[in-house]
Amino acid sequence: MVSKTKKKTATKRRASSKKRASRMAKNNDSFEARLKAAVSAVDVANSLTAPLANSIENLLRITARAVGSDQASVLVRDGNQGGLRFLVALGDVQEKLMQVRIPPGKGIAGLVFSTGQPIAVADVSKEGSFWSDADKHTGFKTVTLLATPLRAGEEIVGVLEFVNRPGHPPYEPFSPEEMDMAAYFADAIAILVDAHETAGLLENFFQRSLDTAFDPDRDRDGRDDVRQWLEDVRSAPEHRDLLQLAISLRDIASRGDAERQLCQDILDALVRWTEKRSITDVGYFSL
Amino acid sequence: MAKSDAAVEAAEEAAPDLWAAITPETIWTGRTGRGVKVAIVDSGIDTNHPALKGKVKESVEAVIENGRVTFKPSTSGDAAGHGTACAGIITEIAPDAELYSIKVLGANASGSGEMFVAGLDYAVRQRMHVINLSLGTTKPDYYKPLGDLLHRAYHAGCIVVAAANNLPQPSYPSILTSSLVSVVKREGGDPFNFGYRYGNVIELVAPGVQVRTTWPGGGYRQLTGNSFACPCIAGIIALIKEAYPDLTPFQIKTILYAIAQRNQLKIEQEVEGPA
Repeated sequence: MVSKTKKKTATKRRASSKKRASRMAKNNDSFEARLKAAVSAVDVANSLTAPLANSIENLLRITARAVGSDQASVLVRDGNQGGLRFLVALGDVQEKLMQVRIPPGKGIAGLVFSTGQPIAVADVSKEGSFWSDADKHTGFKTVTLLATPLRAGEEIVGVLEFVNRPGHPPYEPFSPEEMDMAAYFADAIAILVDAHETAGLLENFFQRSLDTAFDPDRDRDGRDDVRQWLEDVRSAPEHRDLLQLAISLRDIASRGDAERQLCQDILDALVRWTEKRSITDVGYFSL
Repeated sequence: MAKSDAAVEAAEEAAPDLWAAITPETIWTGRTGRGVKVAIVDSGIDTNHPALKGKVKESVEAVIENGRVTFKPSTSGDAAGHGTACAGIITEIAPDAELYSIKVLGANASGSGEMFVAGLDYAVRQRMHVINLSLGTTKPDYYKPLGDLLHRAYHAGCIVVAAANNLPQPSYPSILTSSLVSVVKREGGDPFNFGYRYGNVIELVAPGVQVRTTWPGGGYRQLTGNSFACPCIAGIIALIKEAYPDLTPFQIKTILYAIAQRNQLKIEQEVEGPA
């Protein structure tokens, strides 16, 4: 179950993709026009990330039940300056949370992300002041909270957060044992979040490659089943190879700042190189 | 020739208790941490908090200039709250200790390992008596630089207190036990009732569950984590340093060990009842 916001974005992208395909088809009835239409109709956006987001949400639901909270969320990196955004949220204000951006170092989530250490906060309502920017945005009232870092290898890729207990306040604070349990689940969620981040990179890469490869001025004859073939590619096991390639790059990048820069340079160079290539030269789309 | 068992026992009974002179009364009773410099390498401190006003002697923050980490006076306070929370715990125990905020986490400092190492280095160069590190890194790249720095701290007489990782992974510098005092949390409210687990990587055990402490904006929070056990011990060391300013790091650890033994004995006696 992907959030509504995510679904809306995916739907928007799909609509844009189909519109583009339809426009191309009208312009030219040749093979290339039909090929362009077929490839453009392939919905690369979210094809890799959506299943992972579903898995994260399912695992979050199980984790929240085990920890004893029904308001839970997974926050992920938003840019490279230490900011965070909500990837998945459960509970009363999940829609509003998805629009919240947490600036670097702000709030308990920002703190946990920067220190890499879990923290539990007991009943904050006893001490007066309003809780956080997220509460201001959502109208929710945080009373007790547990946040633990999501760590993939040496990298902190996000924060797992639980807020309040089922029922009405006062709530029992989260215990050290629940903190340990959250950390246990966090390891599994972190792997999925890391894969989700990698998949997002790949989706962007595919999208850029597709957008660049299809120059609307070029035509060529071909067969109608190309569309089906391209659709099949989406679920082909070869995707896993690409994913593995990206994971390898991430592994190298996690070794240090120099390695990270090197990987960025490699990817940038790859994207630039791909942009110069025609459809016949681009990996999976060689015909 | 080996002595008989009886002779050994007799010799042990006749020997004075090596730790007898080390008691809370001789070590910290009546002390407030006056004149002791305590550095908090963290997210900054809210110096306007009523409980901390006048206690923070200097606030600096890490900035990168020309590719190098340097420190400049900080006026940005503490957006995260972590450093303010640690400061509150220390002042609760050692109200007259002089606090020095070295900000390496937060909005203006992304919290990189490089800044963390630079913050510790700054504290050692400033010859802080006690350095509270309620943070760490799991990146092995920092093992050696932090190890080197801790050796320097040890020889300079700076006592470094570091929180253990809350997660089941080693974090640096807390596992570099021989050069610092490492702390893990346990339940319980009395900060002086700490334990010592010699032989474990993390040696000290102190209260770190639902600790009520200061929070930016003038409020308070009840927090759980090793981060909040660490300043308990930093505060206690500030008291010891006031009483005995020339003690070396290993002498301080010896005192902590001796008092912890007493605490343990007290707990056992409470459980078993009077002999």
